[in-house]
Amino acid sequence: MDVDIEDILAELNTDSTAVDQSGNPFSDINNNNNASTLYNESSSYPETNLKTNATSTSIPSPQQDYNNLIILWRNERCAPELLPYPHNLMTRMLSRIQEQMERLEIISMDFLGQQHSTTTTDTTGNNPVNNNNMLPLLCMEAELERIKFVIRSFIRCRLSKIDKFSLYLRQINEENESISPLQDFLSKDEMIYYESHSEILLKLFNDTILKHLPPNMQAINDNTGTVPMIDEPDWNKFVFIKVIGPQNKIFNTDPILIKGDNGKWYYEVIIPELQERVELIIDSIYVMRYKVIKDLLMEGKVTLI
Amino acid sequence: MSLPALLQETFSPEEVQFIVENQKIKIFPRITTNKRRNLSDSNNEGNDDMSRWKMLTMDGRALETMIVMKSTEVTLWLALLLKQQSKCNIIIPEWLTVRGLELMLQYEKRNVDRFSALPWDWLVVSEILFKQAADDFNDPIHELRNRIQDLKEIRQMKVLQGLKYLNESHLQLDNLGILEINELRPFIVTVMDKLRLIHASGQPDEEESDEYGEGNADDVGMGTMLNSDTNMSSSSVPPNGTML
Amino acid sequence: MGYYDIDDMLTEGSEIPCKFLHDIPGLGYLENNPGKPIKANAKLMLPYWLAHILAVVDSGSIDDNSENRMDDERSVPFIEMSTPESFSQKVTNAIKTDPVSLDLHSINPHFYELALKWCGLYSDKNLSEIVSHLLIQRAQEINNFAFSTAIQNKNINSIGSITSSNNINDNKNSNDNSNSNNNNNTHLLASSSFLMTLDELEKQVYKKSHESYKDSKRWMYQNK
Repeated sequence: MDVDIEDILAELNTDSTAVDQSGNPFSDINNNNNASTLYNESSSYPETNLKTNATSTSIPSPQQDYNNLIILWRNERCAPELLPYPHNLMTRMLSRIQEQMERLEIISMDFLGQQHSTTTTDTTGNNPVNNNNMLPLLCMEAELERIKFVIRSFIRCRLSKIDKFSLYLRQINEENESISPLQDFLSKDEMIYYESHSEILLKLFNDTILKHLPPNMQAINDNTGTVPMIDEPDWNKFVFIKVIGPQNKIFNTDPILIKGDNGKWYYEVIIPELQERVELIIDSIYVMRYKVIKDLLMEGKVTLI
Repeated sequence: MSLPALLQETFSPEEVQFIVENQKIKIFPRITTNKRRNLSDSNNEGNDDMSRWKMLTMDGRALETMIVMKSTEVTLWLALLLKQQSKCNIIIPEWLTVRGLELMLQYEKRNVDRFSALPWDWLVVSEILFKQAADDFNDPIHELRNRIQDLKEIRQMKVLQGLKYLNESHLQLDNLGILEINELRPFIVTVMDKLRLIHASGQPDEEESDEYGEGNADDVGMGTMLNSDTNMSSSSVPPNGTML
Repeated sequence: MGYYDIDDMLTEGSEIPCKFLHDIPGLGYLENNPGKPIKANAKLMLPYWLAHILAVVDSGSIDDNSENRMDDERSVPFIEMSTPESFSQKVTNAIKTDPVSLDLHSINPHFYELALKWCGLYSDKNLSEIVSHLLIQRAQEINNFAFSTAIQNKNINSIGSITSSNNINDNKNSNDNSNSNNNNNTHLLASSSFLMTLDELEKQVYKKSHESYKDSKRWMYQNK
């Protein structure tokens, strides 16, 4: 519990403007699908695919962003791996929070001023009116707390995965130097956190044990044994999914969606280990191996629940 | 750690409640916000500005145009907040009536292997409304509670029955509520994950390597060291293989 | 799971009946004959982590006379493993007749983990099916227990502490209430004796589902 979420939130807040000015630094990478890591195909996942009715140019409304954040939060909590960071969405989200906080401050300052002037003239009659006037403020404050909660929980979950897969992330990062997907994958602050965390961890391993061992046994991932020493996500872990379908809800525009004899629309997936085909019917709930539905998840066609 | 172990396993019921509270529900406002906007011409502007609702998770217009006793739709958490302030009555959803629940109960009894189409948040919404909006119900709460309890039990029985169909492949769980799913998750996932590994361990090695080699280039990270268990138990132990 | 997994290491400590296929100098101490060689055909219990390697590794490098090896119908590993008691006919029969009341813990506290390894080694489809069946049957029973102990109130927490003992509060709670309800105690006794028969994986299943049910229950109550 050494991580102060408040700090991270604050930092993300201040950062957000910087990212904003430079436009979308990741847009080229996002479109680039020649990836050789498991992560890359998914770079566009949080941004483009979850957008609902919006055309590609318009900025999603705050409500859309919030709803998508909830989906991303639930996905992140249920997925065995670390999912890509939704840079654009979070930038918008955090700057809105900032604005809202300022707005609330102004409003409540105003109220204080008003109260002073009214209390002198009329104490009793003004109370209910005041109460009604306070209502928007009350609701906006409550709402802000809810948004902060989701973001905190989302980031906490990501940090715990960064901790857990610290060495694994390092490994895939080293294997794919040219693309360096991690930049894409983590927020700036997560990147900083990850780098210092994995450094501290390796230093601990070295100082406490590894440097006292013979040189040929000092590797952090000694692959001569049969078990890899670095834990990676359990790609086949069972997850609960809900089948959503194409974002625009126009079923016949989705090339991989199939209409069954009974009129139900479904995606067909294959469990390679069992050589088994499964129909994932729209609106149904399944317990399924993560790897099998990962592509659909990245396209926003299923969500984890 | 940054996320408690229990929350890495599943959501807490409070988090489930949080998710459900983002759903919309109908209310009868007991205040009129619309009027003030019309009056604001004569009022000073500051006042008007102050009473504006600028919401980030929902459309603020629904709140700015509230008229007493004219039904409107807001998110559940906001409805509960307004309710606490005695600013609205919550319109109890159709299914959460003695009649509605009775229909569901009959369905549950008639269909031994199916769940009735209760809303996905039925258990959470009913608990919240019983507690926080008891006076908005037309039916006696204890009668509703009894039926909710009956539904819960009959469905729980079906779930327990259904668990004999756990397997290494997949499950389909239509119409199961979010709270029901959430409390079952640790059990189902732990057992099915293990069944998956046990099944894989009994497969001939070629198939095993087939299944992991199957992926294309994207799978680099996955393919090389997939799942420690199966790797471990494969008989192709290299000559110098040392475990520890 | 994984390299640092304690249960995995403990599993690998399970002893497997082995037969030596060679005379090996100096190993006599393994059968209380220090200084003497161990003879071919000698039978010994060896831990899995050692046995499964010796059973696979080519001993040709020791024999050294490589010319003759073709005639020797390939090389012979150091040892031959035979089926451990945990997966003997006796046990598999017992599994088939009454999986639920089987005392799996006394057979092997890491039964499933060892089964995984064993099945993987020999691609033993038959055994893996038996074990799957066993887990499905017992899991239901475990789930029933986890569920019913979670919905009974208060001092039932102490059941969790038999397997987990990680919650001081729970323990305290159970002490406070231990004499208050005889019915509960007999139930506790019955369920705890059931829990004693669980293997480590099953205990985990129990603990996780119990906590989850308890959590939902807590939420329901606090909401009333």
